[in-house]
Parts: sequence; structure tokens; C-alpha cells
Amino acid sequence: MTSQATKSGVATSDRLLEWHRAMVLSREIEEYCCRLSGHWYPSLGEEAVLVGAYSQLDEGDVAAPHYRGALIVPWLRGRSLDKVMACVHPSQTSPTRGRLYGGFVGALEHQVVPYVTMVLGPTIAIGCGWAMALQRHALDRVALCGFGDGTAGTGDFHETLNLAVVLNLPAVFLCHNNQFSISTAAESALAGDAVAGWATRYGMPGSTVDGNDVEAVAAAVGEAVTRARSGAGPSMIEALTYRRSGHFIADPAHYRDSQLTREWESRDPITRLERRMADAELLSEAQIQERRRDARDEVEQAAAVARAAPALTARDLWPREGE
Amino acid sequence: MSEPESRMLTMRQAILEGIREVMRMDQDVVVLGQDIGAFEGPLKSTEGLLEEFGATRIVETPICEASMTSLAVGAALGGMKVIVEIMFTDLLPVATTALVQVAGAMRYMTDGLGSVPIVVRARGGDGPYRAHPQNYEALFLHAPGMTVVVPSNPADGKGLIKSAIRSSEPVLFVENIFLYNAPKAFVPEGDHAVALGQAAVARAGDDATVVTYGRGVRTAISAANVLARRGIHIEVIDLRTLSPLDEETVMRSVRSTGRLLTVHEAWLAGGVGAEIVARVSAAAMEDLKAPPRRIGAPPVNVPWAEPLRDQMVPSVAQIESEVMQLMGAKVTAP
Repeated sequence: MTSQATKSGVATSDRLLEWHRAMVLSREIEEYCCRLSGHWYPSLGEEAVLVGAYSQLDEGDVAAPHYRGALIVPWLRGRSLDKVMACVHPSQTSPTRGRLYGGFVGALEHQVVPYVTMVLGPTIAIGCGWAMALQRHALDRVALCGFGDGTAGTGDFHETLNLAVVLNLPAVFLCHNNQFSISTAAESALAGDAVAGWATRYGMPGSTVDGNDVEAVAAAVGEAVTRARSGAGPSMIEALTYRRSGHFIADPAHYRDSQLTREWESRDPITRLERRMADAELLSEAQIQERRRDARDEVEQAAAVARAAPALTARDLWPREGE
Repeated sequence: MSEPESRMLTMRQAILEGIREVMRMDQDVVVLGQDIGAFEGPLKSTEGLLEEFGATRIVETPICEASMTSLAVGAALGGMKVIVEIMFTDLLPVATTALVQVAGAMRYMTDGLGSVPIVVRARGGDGPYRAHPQNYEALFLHAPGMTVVVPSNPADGKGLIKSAIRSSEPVLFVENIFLYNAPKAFVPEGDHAVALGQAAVARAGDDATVVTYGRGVRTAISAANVLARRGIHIEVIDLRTLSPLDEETVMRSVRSTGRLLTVHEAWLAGGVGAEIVARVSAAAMEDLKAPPRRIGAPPVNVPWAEPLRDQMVPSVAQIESEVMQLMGAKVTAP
């Protein structure tokens, strides 16, 4: 049930607190990973899309997230923070034991699809295939399929939109439009009324929301999830946001307008939520600072646990004994 | 043993019988693909399935080999077993990402957590229809994770498709067009299964080992009959499963004959024959009486016109000639 939003579209205070915690945690996880490696693909500034959308799923639903920022998705589905951080410090006890790049591991035990391909596109179809299985097993469950504006240029994306409508699958397509695929600006790479506009041409509802407003994302995705759950078929939400870093954190992103980056930084989704919560007297400034500090400490502690886990050896190239 | 006329089936009929038997037992098995309903599939590859199982289990899609295969992967993660109809092997490269980088990679990359029980059926090889002849099966041996099966006779067609559907791994199942509708052969009734990864000795012999699969088995047996009249007895190994390869059966035969010829319709470069010669050379060089030889298609795309195309398919005469060279005999022009 998407009980987060009341009928007027205003989330309950408990929901706001949960979203705040998840967004702050996501930010801290990503910042930790950026300190770890210049090749990390950060989702800094895109937390409202991730948290607003994936918090709409219930037990038994399927998540097929876009790769950027995906570490928070299994956490939202019940994975412990220790296990999340174990993904980025590969060890003998890490999920996948170091086989998949830390951010891509998914969590099949929580029905989160891993990004095994390094190819953008198939993940959307995999999510839809799982949606087909949910539908066939007569479960009122849905699959939420995430992708970036870059992925929207692929053939797999267009094939899958068509399939989802033709097969009336219980799927929700979530576009994290952060306006860049590496250095390519979405506006110069996608034709016509991309991306949500395309959805309507395929015969499904498509809408664009402010991707830096967690309440707006949650309300739009919640509605799409309810629709899919009722058997009314797929729909698409395009969440407009901005990739504040380069493609990877060490990418200086000289290819874009730094003034625009500063504008989007001033629209930070976490600060924005905090202002709203402070205005509603849900949190004081001191409490906000405390929550941020706590999240950072938690991430550091979980990372310390992960770093202390038994290191991988050459034997770990192979399946465990008895597998 | 009497073999009732009713149990004489074509490869196509035998494969379909295997599919029907598994689908009756397991509600989670569905077929996904283009033109598999009223049209009954390319070369009638899904004949009767819609009638028996209905549109909820015979799921028709538009032309989208890449996404229908990824869709099958997702459905498999959700507990279904999907048979994907890719029509012809020419179309396999379109689905390569979904097969090699998704389906084949899933188990290893998730440290055993995910498995993808899908079967991709495709028709390949030259045949009377003279269309869609490119043979890409070797592409799927190179990358880890895919099981690749090519049956050579109706009984194996039934037994192998049943094992393929029941397997927890992704399987590429190539149905040879030349063998598809002729000739009929005895197919056991009921739960006849042939294990994946096991080659068969299609014909026993002491003088040379011919390792082949699919249509090559039939050609090699014809060659064996011709060679037997000259006093040369070749052992024909039908690989049946190209990956994982039954190295043991191949080695046992080559160690005993000391001579190896590989035969396939697909190209030589980087092919199944190259892999077998490499493995045999590394493991059994001391047992070899002659350098191994290979027959396969020359390095050009399979052309259309008959006089050109006929050069691409291994012939009885070619096998005969290559075996004679292995035997150290002078080859005389026919």
C-alpha cells in the first residue's frame, strides 16, 4: 500500500523522517565511496529520485534499479547497512564476493536486480520479465524499473516499453533524468518529447516530476505503483534532476556550464526536505545536524566492519565448496 | 525390439513432444517469441502448442530478440522457466548481450545466488529452405556461462530439450534445419531424457576419431560406411552438448585411435573444432599418430547461390579425404 501520502498529497511526518534518514544515508554512502575511489559513479543530489521512488515498493515487489546510486535500494528493501558497505569493500563475506562492481550488486534475496551486464538497457527488460512472473503467479506485486536519460536512447528501452504495454505488465518505469550520459546532454541526444512524452506515444501514462522533491517523486511513483498493482498496466515517471558530479567523481566535467551546476546545487533535495521539516517544526536545526552526523558515523562504522572482513584470496575466484 | 510406426518421429516432432511433456508437468514453463501462436513458429517449430496450452503459456511478442530474451531472464528470476523462440541462428547476435552478459553471467556474478533457467531455441545450418544459414554457435562457447546443445537425431532432440528445460542454467538449443523434417527415427515414449554435457559414440571404430555434432554426425556416418569398404573404421563422436564439453569421451576415443578429425558446418576460426584440437593436443599429444585435422566452413559469410553455398557444408568426400590423410595414405583424385 502506498499509504505514505495522504489524500491531499502531503506525506505523514513519519514518512518524511524515514525519507530524510534514507536520503542522508544515501548521501553519506556515496560520499564515502567517492573518497574511496575516483572512479565511483556518484548519485550526489539525486537522492530524492532514489528514495522517493523505491520507498513506494512493498514486500514482494521487484526493484530493477538504474546503476547510479543503487546501493541505497537494497537498504530500502531491508539489507543492513553493514552489508551495503560490504559491497564496496569486497571480502569473503561480501554479497557476490567481489564479483560485481560494488555499486552494481543488487540483492536478489530482496528481489533487487543486479546490474550484471555493464550494458544499459537489459535491466529494464529483466525487471519487466520479473513483473511478468509476478503477474502469472497472480500476485498483486509490481516491478519498478529504473534507468537514466542515457539508457532512453537504447533499443532495449524502446523494445521493452512496447512489450510492457502489449503484455500489460505490472511495471513502473522510472527515468532518473540527470541530464547527462557521461558528457552528452540529454537535450541534444534524445528526440522529440523525451522521455515521459515518449511513454504516452507507447500508450501508457507518462509524467514528469521535480526529481529533487522527494514528496513529488513519491506521490507520482506511488500512483503508478497503485495503477500497476490494480492490473491497469505500466506507466512512466520521469524525474528531472541533475548530475552534480562528473560521470565519475574524478571527472572534472568541463563539458558543461558550471553556473547551471551551482543552480542545481542550490536546489539540493536533502536541504529542501530539511527546510520543509523545519518549517513544519518536525525537526530543529540541531536535530538535523545530529541526524547527518549520526548517518556519517553509521556509514563509517559499517565501512570499518567491511574493511575488517576476511580478504579475498585466489580461491574465491571459484564457487564455494559444495556449490 | 519392435519399433512401432507411431514412435517414428522427425527431429521437429520429437523436440515438440519433449516440450509438451515438460509443459504438462510444470505450469511454470512458458514459450515466448514471435509468430509462435497461430503461425505455429518458423518451420512449424511450435506446432500444436497454442492449441494445447493456450495464449497464457504460449506468449507472443513483437520482433525484439534482445528484449524478449532479457524478459525471459527476468521471468526466470521470478520463478518461471521460459523457452525463447529465436527463430533462426542468424538472429542470435541480436540477443548476445542478453545471453552472454546477462543469462550466462548471472550465477557467477551473483556468487551462486541467481540462476537463469531459460532455453533459447533457434534453427541453424543449411537446409532445403536456403535461408538463414549463418552458424554462430561458437560465439556462445567463448564466454562462460552458457550451455550449448545441438542434437543430431530425433531421440536426442527429445531427450536433450527435456534436460535443457529442466536445467537451472541458460541453454542455447540449436535445431539443425537439414535434419529438422527428415528422416524419421525411433523416439522413446515418455520420460526419455538425455543428460546435458554428455557426448555419444555414434559409431565405434579403431582407426580415427571424427568429432562432430548436428548434421555433421549424419555426414560422418555416411563417410564411415564408405571408408569401411576400404577397410578403415572411424569412430564418430557426437558431442550433443558443445558447452560444457564432454572432454572425457573425446579423449578416450582419441587416445585409442590416435587420430583426430573435427567436422562442423560453422566456421573453422575460433570454432568447436579448434577448441577440441587444442585440448587434445595439450592432453594427449603423445597418443597422436598424426597431426589433428579440421573441417569447417571457409572464412566467408554463408552465400546464397547453390554452387557457392554447397562449398560451405562438410561433405562425405571431404571427410573421406581428410581421414585418408590422417591415415597417411596418398589421396587420389576421385
